[in-house]
Amino acid sequence: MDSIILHSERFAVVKTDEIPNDFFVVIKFNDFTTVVPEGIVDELKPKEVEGCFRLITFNVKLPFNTVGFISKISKALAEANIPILVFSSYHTDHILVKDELVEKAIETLRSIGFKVERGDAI
Amino acid sequence: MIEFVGEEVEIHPERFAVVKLRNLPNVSYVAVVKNKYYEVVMPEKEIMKLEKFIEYETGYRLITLDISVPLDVIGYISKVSSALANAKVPILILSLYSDKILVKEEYLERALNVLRELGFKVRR
Repeated sequence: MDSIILHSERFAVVKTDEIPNDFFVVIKFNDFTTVVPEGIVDELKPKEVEGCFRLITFNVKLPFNTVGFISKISKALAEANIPILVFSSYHTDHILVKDELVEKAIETLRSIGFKVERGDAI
Repeated sequence: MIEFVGEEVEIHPERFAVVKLRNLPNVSYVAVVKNKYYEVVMPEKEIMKLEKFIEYETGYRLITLDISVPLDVIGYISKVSSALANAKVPILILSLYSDKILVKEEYLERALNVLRELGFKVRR
């Protein structure tokens, strides 16, 4: 059975002018939009911050031509009224969910067949 | 129901690669997801500047959904990804404020048709 890993730490979405030393995601276009551990937000010079996100990693090995994985997950979570951010990586996907909705998200993912593991900080 | 009429998508002219690395490289890139490794989206031409990498996949085009979406919107990714999945288009997504979708070049026109059907105007 496919599993998901719920990481223990909390993350913030931060717009900034510099690449953080520690991060989960950096998207670089005109400025840097980043996902960083909440603990380091104060070290950055944030232009915008939104905190209290939890990270869920899908513990699967998806081939590059996979169709419908994000769709299945985002549909189930949307039907449960849970807003998400999605990040695809090499062979899997990650989602960010607000802390107050994370248990509801976990229940929803369980209901579509995922087993839950609690993970350490990344 | 979310309506996308009047919204735009932008296609970046370059081709991109997704590269898995042990360290953050000193090349130009557009996105990094750090898990056990650094998984980096970079223009294809940057690959030859890399000294080391673990693996890579080339041939991606990058589509930016040019909507600034609040981070707590529900069902937006679901609607876009379902429409693309129904059309059998494999995608990678990076969603922060304005969402970015990576699709293989051979699926680009099909993906754009799907986005047009959702109401997006395509900008090149």
